[in-house]
Amino acid sequence: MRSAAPPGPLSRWLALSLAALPSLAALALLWQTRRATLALPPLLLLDAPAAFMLLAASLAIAAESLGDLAAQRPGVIWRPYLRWSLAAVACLALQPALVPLALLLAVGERASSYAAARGAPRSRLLSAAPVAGSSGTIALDLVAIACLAAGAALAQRGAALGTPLIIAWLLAACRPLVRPRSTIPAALWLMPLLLSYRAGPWNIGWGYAALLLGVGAALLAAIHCFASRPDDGDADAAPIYAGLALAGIGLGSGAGIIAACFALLVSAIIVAPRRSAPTAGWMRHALTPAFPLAAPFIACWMVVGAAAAGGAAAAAGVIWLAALLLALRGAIGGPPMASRGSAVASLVIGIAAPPIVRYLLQPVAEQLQGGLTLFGDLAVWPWVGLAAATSARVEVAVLPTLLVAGMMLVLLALVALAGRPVAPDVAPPGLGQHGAADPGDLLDQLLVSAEADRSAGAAPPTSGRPDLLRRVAALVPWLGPREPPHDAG
Amino acid sequence: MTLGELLVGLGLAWQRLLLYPGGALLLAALAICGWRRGGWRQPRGTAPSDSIGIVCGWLACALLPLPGAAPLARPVDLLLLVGLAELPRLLALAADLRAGDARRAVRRAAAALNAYPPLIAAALALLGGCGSLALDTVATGPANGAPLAQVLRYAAGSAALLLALPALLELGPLAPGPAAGGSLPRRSLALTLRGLALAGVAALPLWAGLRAGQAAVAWWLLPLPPLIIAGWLWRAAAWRSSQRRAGWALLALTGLCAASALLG
Repeated sequence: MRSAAPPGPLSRWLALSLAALPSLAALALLWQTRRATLALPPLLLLDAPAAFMLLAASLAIAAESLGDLAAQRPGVIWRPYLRWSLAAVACLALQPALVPLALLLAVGERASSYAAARGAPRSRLLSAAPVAGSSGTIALDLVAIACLAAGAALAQRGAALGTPLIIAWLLAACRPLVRPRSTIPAALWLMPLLLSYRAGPWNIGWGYAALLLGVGAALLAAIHCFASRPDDGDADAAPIYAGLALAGIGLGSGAGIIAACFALLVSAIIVAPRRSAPTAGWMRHALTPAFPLAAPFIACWMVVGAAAAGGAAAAAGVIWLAALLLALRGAIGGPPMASRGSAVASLVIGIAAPPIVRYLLQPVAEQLQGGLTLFGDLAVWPWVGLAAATSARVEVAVLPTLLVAGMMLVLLALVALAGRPVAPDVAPPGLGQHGAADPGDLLDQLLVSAEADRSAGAAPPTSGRPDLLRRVAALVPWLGPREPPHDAG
Repeated sequence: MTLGELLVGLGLAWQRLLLYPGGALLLAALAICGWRRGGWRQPRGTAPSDSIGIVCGWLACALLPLPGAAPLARPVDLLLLVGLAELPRLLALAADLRAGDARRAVRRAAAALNAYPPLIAAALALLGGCGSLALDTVATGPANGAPLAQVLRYAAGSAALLLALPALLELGPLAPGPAAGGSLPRRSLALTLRGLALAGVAALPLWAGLRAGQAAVAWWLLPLPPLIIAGWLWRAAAWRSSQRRAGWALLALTGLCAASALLG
């Protein structure tokens, strides 16, 4: 069932509804399982953690489909449903061996799509190509699936929770942290590790390993994201949120698990591949941790709060630094491919974080409670906000999102009423030249002019790194090379 | 908490937003802007992002639990306050890029990157000292009879925050410098509010130290922390050095503070 022409408004709405259906089904399943687990041996185990992972995967698949739709790239309409079915098998199956099998089939579906794209004529290439697909991507996916298969084999032999099993699942969970980016949603790679808390508490060493891996990967990804070109910004933010999720799982507390789930939710909605109109103006900050009430900020706040509540202050600091780096990167340029709808969704999810945590994420932590530690809990104040508390119920981090949003609205109304009370920070000499263009585009223009200067013999080409970011790094000792700065003074 | 209680809490916040500290610091910021410009005038053509920057800076000021401020329905933490205070700087950076002024954008971004590590280290030390990042707890300080190591961590965090304040406010070697045309750009209200909010955060532990176990600070001691901070910022603004050298100094400060926070 293929269509070559771009879809009209009616077929867009139809496609939107069709793309949303699997996510709604996963949401209904999560709602049903929030109080009780439903086991149908030997096939299915329906509980809130598995249902949430299915929801996160469904949202990522739906966002990808909607991105294709917004870019008017008609594709095969049943492919998202096939992907969702495979994700459902991976998440809900009681037999561990079905997880690598389902993911193998998912990678095979991606590979067939990629092969069709390579062999197809140009007119049909865009319709069949996945958003990201290459032999390197598929090879790394296969390695991670091999790790999952090894873990499944160990689990079949009766090792409910052991070091080799956790190592296998930890290695598979590293897949969303490395490049090239996987075409399988991050939730599916992290799912076996999260669900292992069903079997009981972790050894403290496993928690440290997962925490170190997650925090380190998030910081490295943030530095890489900061140093990358603007057109890479969208894809580069994905490992940061996957790292946050892994760190949250490694913390092994209720707050950590909730933070991990929220990071996966943000990753599915915010970082999903988009091909629609880019966001401009201040709204683009809603897609990074720069805006204090946006979902990325809340995700980072949750992991920082969970780490601080669990006594991992250094991890909290590193994650905070990664979040600030990502926010700064967003101000310089990127993520350029995110849509305006993503920005609105980010604000809605961020401000509505308390009910989301209360009704969707807390059941996940409650049903894994047998395997979790008491070092950190996320308390919800209905209608107000969230607080990360230690085992002694001391609130180490407090975030009344709804209250702050209300206060912000009041001030926004006052500023709007006051008319135009302030000047912009910089008298814009080149405003007529650049207009109200997107910062990412402006950075591109600056980089293009720098490249032109180099080609004219002004300076020898040093590297592929953007000139602006290289100059920033030259002024920051912990980030940059030792070359003398050009702008010192 | 119900929706009605949220609305009541929001309604009771008007004193914080409009009178003290929000309104008072807004007036102070307007006065500073007017003084820096040689007279306040009301220009036109403000972009929506400027309004967002002002709102964030104003809200950060209003959320400060300064002495005598009305209580909020729920406290906020340092992470939110830093997030609110950083958005005006990020918007200013984007404005620099929009104006085609790459040099100011580079220096502003580098100043942010140099200031973040000591800020985070100071926050972690404060967390180790008083057990929470909530601003109310930070303003209260360690409980009476707290272990000496905890008090020292709190003191180290306070000192690091104070020392990193010029970097956070882009003063001295970390100043973004003149605009592309060579003229000194006008000080924006959003950045001034941001500066007042961060200075207020740095003053909280000083007030806690002056309280010295009492319920409240003596009234004649109240102006002391703002005066200390103003004098320190005045001195730091006159410091001349390269930004990279200042970055090394801030990195050393981060190391010292992190060591005291994690090992102390």
